[in-house]
Amino acid sequence: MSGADAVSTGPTRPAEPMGHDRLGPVRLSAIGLGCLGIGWGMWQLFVVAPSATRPFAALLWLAGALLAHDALLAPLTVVAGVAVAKSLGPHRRRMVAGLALAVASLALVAAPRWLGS
Amino acid sequence: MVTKPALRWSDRIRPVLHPLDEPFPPGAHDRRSAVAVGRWLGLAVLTAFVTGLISHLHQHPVFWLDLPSRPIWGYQVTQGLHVAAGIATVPLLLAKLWVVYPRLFVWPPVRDLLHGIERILLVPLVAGIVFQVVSGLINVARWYPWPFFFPRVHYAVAWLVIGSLTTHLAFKAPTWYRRRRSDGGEPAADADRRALLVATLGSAALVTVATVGQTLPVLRRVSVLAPRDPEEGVQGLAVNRTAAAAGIRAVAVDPGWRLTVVGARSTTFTLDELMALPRRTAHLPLACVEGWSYTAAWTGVPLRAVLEIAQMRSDLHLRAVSLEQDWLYATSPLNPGQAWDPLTLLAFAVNGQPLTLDHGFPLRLIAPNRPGVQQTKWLSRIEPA
Repeated sequence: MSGADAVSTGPTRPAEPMGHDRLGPVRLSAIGLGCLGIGWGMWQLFVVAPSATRPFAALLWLAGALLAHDALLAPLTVVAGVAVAKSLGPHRRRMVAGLALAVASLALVAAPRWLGS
Repeated sequence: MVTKPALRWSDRIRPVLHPLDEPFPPGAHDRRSAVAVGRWLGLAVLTAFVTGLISHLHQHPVFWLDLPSRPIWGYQVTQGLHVAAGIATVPLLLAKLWVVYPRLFVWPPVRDLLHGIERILLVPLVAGIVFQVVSGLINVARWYPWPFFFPRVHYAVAWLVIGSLTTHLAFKAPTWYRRRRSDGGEPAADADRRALLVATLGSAALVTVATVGQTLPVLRRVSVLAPRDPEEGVQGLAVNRTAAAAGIRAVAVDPGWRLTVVGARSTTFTLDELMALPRRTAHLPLACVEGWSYTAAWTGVPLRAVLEIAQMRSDLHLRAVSLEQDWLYATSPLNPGQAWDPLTLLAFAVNGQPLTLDHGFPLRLIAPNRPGVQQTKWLSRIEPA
């Protein structure tokens, strides 16, 4: 849409490609620093005290955390959203989505206490 | 004009996600929403990281930094904040991941080397932050369904998260400062973005109010989901490690109990001898790593009084040793500043009552600005570390 493009790119500036165009010294140093942090974390996880960190089990938990969200919670939310959205008008959908976030958050916060006891 | 990468999978999943866009269309999955929610999430993560480092330094002292023994409420505040920030992260993280979820299916998955590096580094970021929040919540509930030692893994993954978050922000910086002219200006999108933010921040406020009463007495009755009620326990004060769990009942009530202070002139004290020394009552918090805390009036002998009697050198790092055996926290470290702080007490009473076994009878350590697990109960020795 030409109208949307005019808004999104601005009248005075040329369009810029998305993504990591020029990586200047500041961003490069930040990336380097971040990698140092990751390295320190890996060192702590795998090398310093493997009998305490149990790297394999920790990796399983990390992978489980990622999959629990990306492969389970998010798709379920998509499905639930599709199911609910069909029967609601736009205004109600907005309220239901907001409520769903609040209820899901409260449930996640409360869950360990019930599951663990 | 604008050359965007082809979003084949994203294009395909968009119609599926669209009904969920509806509550906040069309701003719910755009860059400005990602930045707006991400900013709050970043603040929560940074708070949890810094306060977590402080807690780590308390429990794993380093030779190049002796933590101060003041302010009295220091650990109560930093650890209360740590757990509160972690809990507030739940809705912030759910919302942020929801906003960017369609980008998981971006096509092509990798455009070039840098794009590949950027995306690979999202793996430790997302896995790490979800893990930190979930494992933290589980640990606060005192449930340990994993084979590893939680504090060490939580510490290691904290660095994975903060490191990959730093790279993420570096990669995304252009998005950040370009978002206004790229996404702005559409009233519908702006209104929907506001709705998303209201729902997100409202949920963050809700989970905070529902739990933070475990460390903020004002909200104690409101916080129905608080992991702990700090006033529920023997003598109206919560207890983590009971005398039964520690297996010290018999030795703690043994009339032959003595406190040994190992110094230039090592001395042993009976409880009566300690109680005959000048005593002091101080209002000090007991602040647990799990984020709950209470403040009570503790009565006892300042540690420095017995250190002076035992002619302890004032520059030594000390160790408080419990009667308990074979437990990781059966001893706790005291740097010189902590050991000689006049408010560091060998307590034998709390709120005017003699300590019960569960609170550390006959004698416990209670010191300002210190994790609860290091307020060593059932003391038997004070010695150089």
